[in-house]
Amino acid sequence: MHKLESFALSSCSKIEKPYIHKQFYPIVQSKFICVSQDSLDQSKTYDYYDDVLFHIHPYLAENGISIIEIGDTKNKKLFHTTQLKGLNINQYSYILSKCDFYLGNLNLFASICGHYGKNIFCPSNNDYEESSSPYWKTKESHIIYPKSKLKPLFINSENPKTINKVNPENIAIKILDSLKIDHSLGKVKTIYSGENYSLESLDILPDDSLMPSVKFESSVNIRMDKEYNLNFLKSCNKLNKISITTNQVIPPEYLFFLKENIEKINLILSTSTTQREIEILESIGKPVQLFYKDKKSINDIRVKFIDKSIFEYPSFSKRDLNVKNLNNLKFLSKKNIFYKNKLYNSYLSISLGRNTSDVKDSLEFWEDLSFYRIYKQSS
Amino acid sequence: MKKKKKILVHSNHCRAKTGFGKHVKHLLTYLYKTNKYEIVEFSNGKQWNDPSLSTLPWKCIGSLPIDVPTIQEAKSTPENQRRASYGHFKIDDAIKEEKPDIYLGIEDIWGLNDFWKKTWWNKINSIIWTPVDSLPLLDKHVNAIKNTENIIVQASFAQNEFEKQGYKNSHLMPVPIDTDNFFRLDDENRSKLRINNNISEEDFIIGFVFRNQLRKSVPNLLDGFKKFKSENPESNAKLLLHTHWSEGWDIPKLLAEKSINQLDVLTTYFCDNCKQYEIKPFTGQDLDCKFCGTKKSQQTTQISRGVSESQLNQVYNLMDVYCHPFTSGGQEIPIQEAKLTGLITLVTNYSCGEDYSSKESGGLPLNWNEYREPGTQFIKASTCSEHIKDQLSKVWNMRPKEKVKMGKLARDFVIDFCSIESVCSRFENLISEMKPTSWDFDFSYVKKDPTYKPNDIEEDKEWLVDLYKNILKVEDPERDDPEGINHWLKILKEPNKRQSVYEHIVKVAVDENSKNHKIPFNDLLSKDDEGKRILFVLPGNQIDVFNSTSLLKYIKEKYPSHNIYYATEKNNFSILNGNPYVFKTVLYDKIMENFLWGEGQNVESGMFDFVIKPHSNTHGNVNYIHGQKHKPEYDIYYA
Repeated sequence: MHKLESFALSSCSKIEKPYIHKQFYPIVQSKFICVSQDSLDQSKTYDYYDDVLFHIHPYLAENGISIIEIGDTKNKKLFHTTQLKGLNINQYSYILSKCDFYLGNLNLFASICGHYGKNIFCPSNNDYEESSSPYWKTKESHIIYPKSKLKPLFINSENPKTINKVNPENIAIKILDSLKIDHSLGKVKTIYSGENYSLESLDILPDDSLMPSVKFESSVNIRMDKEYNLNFLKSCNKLNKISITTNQVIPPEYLFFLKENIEKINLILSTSTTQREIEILESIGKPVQLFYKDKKSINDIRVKFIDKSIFEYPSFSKRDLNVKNLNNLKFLSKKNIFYKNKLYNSYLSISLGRNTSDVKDSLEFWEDLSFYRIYKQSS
Repeated sequence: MKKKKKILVHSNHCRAKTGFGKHVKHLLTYLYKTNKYEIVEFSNGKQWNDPSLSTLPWKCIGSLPIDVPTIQEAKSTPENQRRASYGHFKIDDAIKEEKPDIYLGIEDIWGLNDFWKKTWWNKINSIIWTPVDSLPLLDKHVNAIKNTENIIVQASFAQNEFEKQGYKNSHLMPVPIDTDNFFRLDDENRSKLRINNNISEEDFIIGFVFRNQLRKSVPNLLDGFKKFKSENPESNAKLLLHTHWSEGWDIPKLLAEKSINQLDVLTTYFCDNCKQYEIKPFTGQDLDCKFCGTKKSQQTTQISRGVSESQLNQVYNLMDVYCHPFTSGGQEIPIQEAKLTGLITLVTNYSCGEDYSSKESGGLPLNWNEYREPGTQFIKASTCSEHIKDQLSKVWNMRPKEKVKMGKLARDFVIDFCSIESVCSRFENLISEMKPTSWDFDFSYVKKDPTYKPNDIEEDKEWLVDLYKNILKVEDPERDDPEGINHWLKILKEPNKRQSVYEHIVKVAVDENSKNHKIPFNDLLSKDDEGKRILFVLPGNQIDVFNSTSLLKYIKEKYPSHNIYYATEKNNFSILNGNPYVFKTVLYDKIMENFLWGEGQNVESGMFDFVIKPHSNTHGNVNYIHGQKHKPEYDIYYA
């Protein structure tokens, strides 16, 4: 039974059409879709709308269809979208009545669109369709569930989220098919999504110059383990939230200089690291997290620093992808690396001197694996 | 005909089985019978319009709010919840509505905190009747007596302390006791009672009736008992602890630790099935009842399931002496009950014990050593076990005639000092001298002025008083808030603090203004649709509210002359904007889940004709999923 049917029974009433007031809002686009990340629960919040838009945007643009993002201003801006966030629900009611279709989480917008007879495309976690989907929806609408033989969990929060098992290309295909737009997405198949793929991450790789005055809103990780450059580090004092990853001690005067900006320090230990060195890093009063790379001998290091918690430094290899043939594999990355005034999507791209999306069997590629979504694109 | 004085009594409800509840019951019954007063009871723990309050002989209103904005404010913080439980959110309304000549608050002092700052305080004859159980006095006690015309305390040690501090406006009146239920049985019946409970005539029974709380000095009593018994083995002494053994002190453990024979310590078992009691040594809980044969129905007596007053009288009549050691107490009712049954009472000579251990009271004092309670730093008493032994020996060795004489003295003392007649007549004397209230004062809220700009006044005090008068609208700041003035003056001694003090006072003004801009729930309802209102209640998410709009057409068309009031959270209001079937949106509160609140009960006609709660099977108690297998097949669509 749908929840609304239960409402009807409990209130001795019958179901008619819903009502929501429409308030005019000027829109310049004549053909557009609405997309929204608003969600009732964490477990029903899909993290890969950027990927869906990555796949459908070229086709929509070719057909003169714009993408308008609506909903809460707190949501991060999606790629390729025009922003109309922060309006009231009656203005959204008007906008949704004019849109071509809705893409997004299962929220009030999805229900309103369904009521207006617009197609909706919504990923969902494992749930009963009849009780979770909007009560009013067109036959061409799609609530896309992950493949699962399990019963619904009925929880508001989960980690990892099953909703993220819905592959972006599957949503994209359903949208383009419903619009009757020819496409080649049938050749795309996601084969891997890293556990950090939903997280944005920004590394700064020190170089032989100084940190230029660039503003980053999010936290940055200065990779002193890759390039130990104290002058560069000192020039990072304009950055707001800094994490430092290092494999050797940093003189305290540098740390104190940046003390207000530092959020934490990650120290990658070696067999020669001393207690004193750890204490120097700890002396500025910020959290110091200890890592060790060699899984085989990590317990020896743990014995050496018995009072400390030492974590295994995440490392990946081709085996983790579990694919023999890397041909035709592409990757999308949530990692950004700032190096010599340019942004790269991976350490592989830095090693090549240009951004790439082709999978390559190299150490630089595998080290960022947890930040990738990898898909196969058949020719 | 002379107009009756109107007295508003604020405390626990008179039917509550608490000390304050009984206090109110005895007092109001007495006053009602005099036919001289118009009585209004203002009951904590009851809702303002609770229909059950209409069955009392006098008017009774509950102190818990029923209007949604006030309920929400009352729930907003733990402190507000506590204040609401003591009636702080409705007392002003009660006073405004009832316009009493006398306000009497019977409560612990923290329950009435800051009442003395209210507009009406002392303009109406204001009385606080409150227990004080330890010294030094709390600041709240001192503030109360400083700002209140009449304070009533229950023990002379408290009155003495107030007088020592220069306050002459306190009165001594204990909680009134119903003396009819407790008396000495004749010898024949006393003997029968002993036989029925396997107690020999030769046994010397030392009794203690108490709630098993840590402030009752059980270890001290056990020590004293042990010493007495070893010094007087021929006494066949037994201790009768009429209490619940599954809370507070772990008495079996204490007995083992002190090597006291368990058979020498008796207790009262009570059968929940046949309501009979039995006195015997403690052997655990859930025993089989020898009277009705029910299995596991006997437990040691406790508040929720225990002996009746007449059975308790029998328990006292099994005793030869009553011993009540404690750390402190406002008024210990069992001591008075024991005295009424003619027992000599041994009582710790501290706090209220001073009154009940004196020679005139037919009691014997128990010496004590002082210790301090961590945190409050209250003086507390640790009763000397050696002196317990000495005083028990004194009674044991007393001639029967002397015992009877002392017992009679004890009973007379209680009748004279604590009986309903005695206490309430003294109270009546107090209020008979009070003049009726003229009710010429203004109750309306004086709006604060946060826009006022401070004058350039050099002297700090003058500058501060100016802000108080012009922003907070306090008539005489030094009289009305001396603590606040002193506090800010201390801060102003530091350099450059004027701006922050000014900003704080402005913030207080803004907060006060917004707090006092309340609309009673009744005022949200149309005046023209009484008897034709439907309350549609749906808290929760936006999708639910949107979906529910599909149900409103059917309801409205079925009841075309009714108005639908839709109750939900504020962030859902915009979904209902312009809905042709919704008359008005109102703020949801949990109280609406109780349909009686809206529909009424008994003499309460209710604000709504009926209440609809569509979410009763979906929110909290989910009963609609049905595995997606079982679905309605009848028509629930409105075409």
